[in-house]
Order: sequence, then structure tokens, then C-alpha cells
Amino acid sequence: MMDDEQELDDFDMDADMGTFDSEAAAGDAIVNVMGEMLEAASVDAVFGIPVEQGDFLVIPAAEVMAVAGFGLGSGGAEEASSKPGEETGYSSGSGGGGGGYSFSRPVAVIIAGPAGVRVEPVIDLTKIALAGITAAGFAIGMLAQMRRSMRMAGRRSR
Amino acid sequence: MASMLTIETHPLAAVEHNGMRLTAFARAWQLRLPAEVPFIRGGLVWNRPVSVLVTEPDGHETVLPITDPTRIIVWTLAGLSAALALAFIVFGLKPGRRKS
Repeated sequence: MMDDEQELDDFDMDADMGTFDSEAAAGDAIVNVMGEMLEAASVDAVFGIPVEQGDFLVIPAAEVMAVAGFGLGSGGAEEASSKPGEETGYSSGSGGGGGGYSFSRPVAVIIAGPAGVRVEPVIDLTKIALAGITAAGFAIGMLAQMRRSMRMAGRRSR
Repeated sequence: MASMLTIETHPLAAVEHNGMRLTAFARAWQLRLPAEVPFIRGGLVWNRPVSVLVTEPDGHETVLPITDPTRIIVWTLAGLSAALALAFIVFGLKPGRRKS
């Protein structure tokens, strides 16, 4: 019991408030990281460095996407003492989490030559194939369900 | 409250080649959660090339659009899938539905 009282006497409110300062600092750091991540998707990231080779100049172009987010939360509650006469306590907690994702995909190449300037698109066959397989699988599944439904309806009507 | 969605077009520094001047443009879509929302921060930036302005030595200007066939094809397939699903629902051919 004496130890508990000693602990209460040693409780330093300023030090305790310091944890809130560190939480704010952590929040600021996360905001800065998120800001830098979103700024990474700038116009400079879209167009690459022009490459000059003989009479030709090539500028690669890509689409850039960045997504970032985080959340912070905290809360506290008074705890009623189970023993009569004892003071009520206060407990609190806080937490946070975040994440991000960024990607870049080549879209086109700008070629300037003696014959003029042209834009050559970059076709991502893997992405198209994956999308096509997914769409075809979905359509086949739907058609199979439809045929089964029609067959069952036909049996019932007989 | 600041706008959550902003769409901006930015030019890249012009490049000179064979007397022609090339100015590429990129369009940025920025979606940011407003600062008024407590405890949650986030955003999305989608930046893509849109066109190239070619200025020839005689001053003639041409705008070349930058198309993305991959995105067009993928979104078309997604749209067709959604339309197919909608058609099944609308015409009463919802999967698993039994007609009485």
C-alpha cells in the first residue's frame, strides 16, 4: 500500500503529458511521410529524362499513382475502484496505423526524329490478358448459372 | 473547407530538338481527405501524361494526344462485365434464381 502511495506521489504530470507531445510528433512525421509519398507522383515522375541518340530524341512517359492514409485514435475512461474508500483511477490508450501504395506504369514513348514527332503507346499485354481472363471467367460463370436456372425452370414447368 | 478533389494540368519543361520545341503535359488528379476530419489523413494522387505540344521552327503548333490503350481495354472489359451482370439481373436471370 505504501508503494502505491509512493507511486502516486512520484507521478509526474508533465512527463505524462510528454507522451501526448510524442504522439503529436509521430503524427506530424506520418503526415510528412504521406506528403512526400503523394508528392512523388509529380509531373517530373510522369515524364522521364529525354534521351538523345543521333537525330532522335526519346521521352518516356508513365502514369504514376500514389495512395496513402493513416488514422490515429485515443481514448480514456475512469475506472471505479473495487475497494471502498479508494480513489478512482483513470486509464487511457492510444494507437494509430497507416499504409500506402504507389505504382508507376509506362504509357507511351514520345519520339522526335527527322520525320517529325510521334507518340508510340506502350501496351501492357500482361495486364490486358489478366483482365481478359477475369472478364471471360466471369462471363462463363454467369452464362453457366443462367443455363442452369433455365434448365431448372424448364423441368418445373413440365 | 478546401476542395477534396483537384484536377490540374502541368507542363514539363520544354525540350528543344532539331529546331522543334516539345512541351509535354501531365494531368494530376488529387484526392485528399479534408483537414477538418479528425484523426484521419489520407489521399490519392493519379498523374498521367495527356499530350505533347510540338512547336515547329515556323511557329506552327501541333498537339499530339497521348492515349493509353491498356487502360482503355481494361476499363472496357470491366464495363462489359458489369453490363453483363446488370443484364442478368434486369432480365430476371439472376444466378441461382428459380422460376416458379
